[in-house]
This record gives sequence, C-alpha cells and structure tokens, in this order.
Amino acid sequence: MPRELVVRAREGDHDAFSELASASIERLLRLSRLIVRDDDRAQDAVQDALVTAWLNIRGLRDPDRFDAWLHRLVVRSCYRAAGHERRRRVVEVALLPIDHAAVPDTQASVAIRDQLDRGFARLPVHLRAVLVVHHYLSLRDQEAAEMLDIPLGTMKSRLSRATAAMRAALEAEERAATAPQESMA
Amino acid sequence: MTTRDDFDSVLGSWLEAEATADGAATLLERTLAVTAQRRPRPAWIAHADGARRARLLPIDDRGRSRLAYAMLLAAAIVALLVGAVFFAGQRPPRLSQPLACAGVDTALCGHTAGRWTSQTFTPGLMLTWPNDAWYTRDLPDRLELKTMPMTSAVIVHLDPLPAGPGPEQERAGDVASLIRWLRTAPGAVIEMVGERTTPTGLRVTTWDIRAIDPRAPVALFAPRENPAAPAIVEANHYAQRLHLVDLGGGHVLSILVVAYDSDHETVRRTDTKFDPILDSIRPPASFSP
Repeated sequence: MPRELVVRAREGDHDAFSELASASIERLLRLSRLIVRDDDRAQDAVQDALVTAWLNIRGLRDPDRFDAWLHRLVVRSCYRAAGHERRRRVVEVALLPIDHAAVPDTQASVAIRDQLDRGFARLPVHLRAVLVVHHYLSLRDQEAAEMLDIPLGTMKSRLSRATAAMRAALEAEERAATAPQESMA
Repeated sequence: MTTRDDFDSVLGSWLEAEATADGAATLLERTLAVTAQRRPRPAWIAHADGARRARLLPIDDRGRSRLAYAMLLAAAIVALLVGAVFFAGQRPPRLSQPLACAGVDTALCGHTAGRWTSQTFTPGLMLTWPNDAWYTRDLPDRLELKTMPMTSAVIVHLDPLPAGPGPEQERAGDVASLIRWLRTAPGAVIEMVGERTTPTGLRVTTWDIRAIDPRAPVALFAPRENPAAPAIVEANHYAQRLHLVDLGGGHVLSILVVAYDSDHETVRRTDTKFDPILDSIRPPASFSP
C-alpha cells in the first residue's frame, strides 16, 4: 500500500482514501465473508470498518501499518456482526454453490467441501477468525495474534483447537466414506 | 488418515475457494458515498475514540463476556451488601443478658454484650456493653462498673454538687458551675483532657485530677441528696479521671475512672476500654422527681 496515499488520506484527502479502499476492498470482503459466513453481514462489517478507518485515520500514527490496522478494524467489525448474529438467535446454514471452480468437482471433493463447510460453520467466531488469519492470510503467529488482539499463547491454543475441530470433521467424513467398502470386503 | 500437510493444504484450498469477493464494487461505491460526506476526526479525538472502542468492543468477545459476568457479579455483591445494611438497620438492637452475679447484698453482675438499662441508679439510663467483660453494681446512689483485673473502677453519680463551702451560685450543679468549682478547688490539681460530643449527642468534658498532697484528700463533689455527707469525688492518692456528661434538662453525670494502684497508665487503659460505653450513654426519657 503506497505510503504516500496513506499520508494524503490522513491529511483529509478523500480521493487518496478512495484509492486505498478500492485497492483493499476485495481482500477485506473475502476476509469478512470467511469469518462472518453471511454475505450481508460481511458487507456491513467491511463498510463499517472502512467508515471507521476514514473517520479515525488521523489517529493512525504509522502509515506503514495501514493494512494491518484496516484488517484489525474488519476483524473487530466481524466480531460485532457475529455478536448481532448470536443475539438474533438465528442459525443460518450457507448453501454450497452447485459448481465451484477452485476445487475439482468430483463427488469426493464435494463431500469434503461440504464437511469442511459444516465443520467451519459450527466453530465459534473466534476460532473461525484464527483459522482464517492463519490459513488464508498466511500470517505468522505473532502477526495473527496482533491482528486478533489476543496474546500469542491464546492465539496458538485457539489455532490448535480450531484445527483439531476441522480435522475431526474431515476424518468423520473419511470414516463414513470407507466404512461401506470395509464392510463389503 | 489425513496427514498434517494434506490437511493444511485442503483447508487452505477450501478457504481460498470460499473467499469470494462478489459485490465488492457495489460495496465500495456505497461505502465511499458515506465517507465522502464526512470528515476525518481530529487526531486526539480519533485516539480517544480508538481507546474507547477498544474498551467497549474488545476484539476478543470471550474477554467481553468475562467482563460482563464480572460486572454482573460485582453488581450482585453490591446489591447484597446494600440489602444486608438495610436489614441490619431494621433489626432491633441486641439486648444485654444478665450473667452470674457475685456477692449477696451489693451484687456485682456480669452481662453479655448489648443494650442495658439501669433499674436502680437512674431508671431508664441506657448503656451498651461492647462485650461481656464488664460487671456492674446498680445501686440507688451510684452505678459502678468494673472490668478485670479490677484494679480500677468507673463510678457514676447523678447531679453532684460542689463539695465544701462556696457562693450559692456555685452550687447550682450544672456543668458550667461544676467546672468553675473544679478549677478553683483548693489543694487539687485539675487538668483538662478534652471536650467532645458523643454519637448520642451528649456533651462531655474530661479532666485528670489529683491532690497536691496525696496524704491530704480534697473533697470535690458531694451528693445532692445530702451535701453534708462524705464526698463522692475527691482528689486523693489514687490516679483518677473525671468525665462530666451533660444529659440536658439541668442533669449531669459525674463519671470517675479511678485506678486503685495509683497508676495513671491504669486509668488511661480503663478509660480507653470504657470509651465505647461512654459513647453509648442515652439519658432516660424522663428523670424521677
């Protein structure tokens, strides 16, 4: 992210901020969708984070930290959105799209995706966030902990729990897939 | 079984596939329409707001839950304490119960802690014992209080008069005239220790008294019923402290703390023990004619 744009935005240049937002918005939206698991609320979270960023950009001391700061604002907005979701006490299960370009569309991969999706949706939001920053943003542990605003040890333990939960979800699927073959053998 | 690398790869690929950005352009347009209408806040407000948001909206929602539970618990404890204080205020005062008495005619009786009312000395005069360490002798002309090891005593008289000859106005028996008399009493050394008002609203003046010549006692106060009778308070070889308590309505309590071992430290120690009792004194609703 060009430092010069951040400096200009910090001085109140809305065009500069628009460029920064334009360059970031897809990344932020992906991040938000993964954590929140709901399109509308993911968009609201990103919008809320960007408006907050604009209003408070003069409080950003180090322009080089703009990206990390923005990610942090988005994660915070996602937590808030997830809090609203909990309060509404509505369970929404996202339907898988019928075709998905990034994963080979075999019966097995669809089953795995389905299992991952269900396992991921069952995780509480703070464990989903850990998996996303670690496996999707590929942040190092320390960076991930800073983004999530939690101690490093907490981050590691949450990552361990989240990973174990997802592995269990996958292995359950594998057991279900192999069981009929073993019984036939 | 899925290996660790396989799993990381599967999970990473799945997250990558799930992470779609459909609608980003519309969202950007909508967001910039909002931001274009607003100006960034001054830096100091932004700093303060950032800190406030961090406090109010901690990113770790489990931390927020813990804080909420802690606040709820604190509120419950405060409510319990307020309730306890309220109900304690409503509870009737604990009454002192008699313990064993010693002697036959002039029995020295013990009491449990609590509120106590004189029956003989000044009916209706109320005291509160802070513990069960005190013994009383409730007599028509005086009230005696003692506590172990009984090398000292507290002797209470009602409405004393200055002992010895003096102008008629000095024999009025109110606190002012008694003090004037004490200050001029020949042969006695009178030192004021202090003045205060008890929590029950009674004015108390306190004096240390001793005789200039321990072998020559000086009569200070005489009984009102019979001023010619032996003195009820005298400066002598004992170490003594005198409290004059203005009960109102022209009535005065003379409270003498006396150390029979002639040690001022004994007087001070006894007086310190007696202090909460002095603070608890309540005059009777009406005095007997």
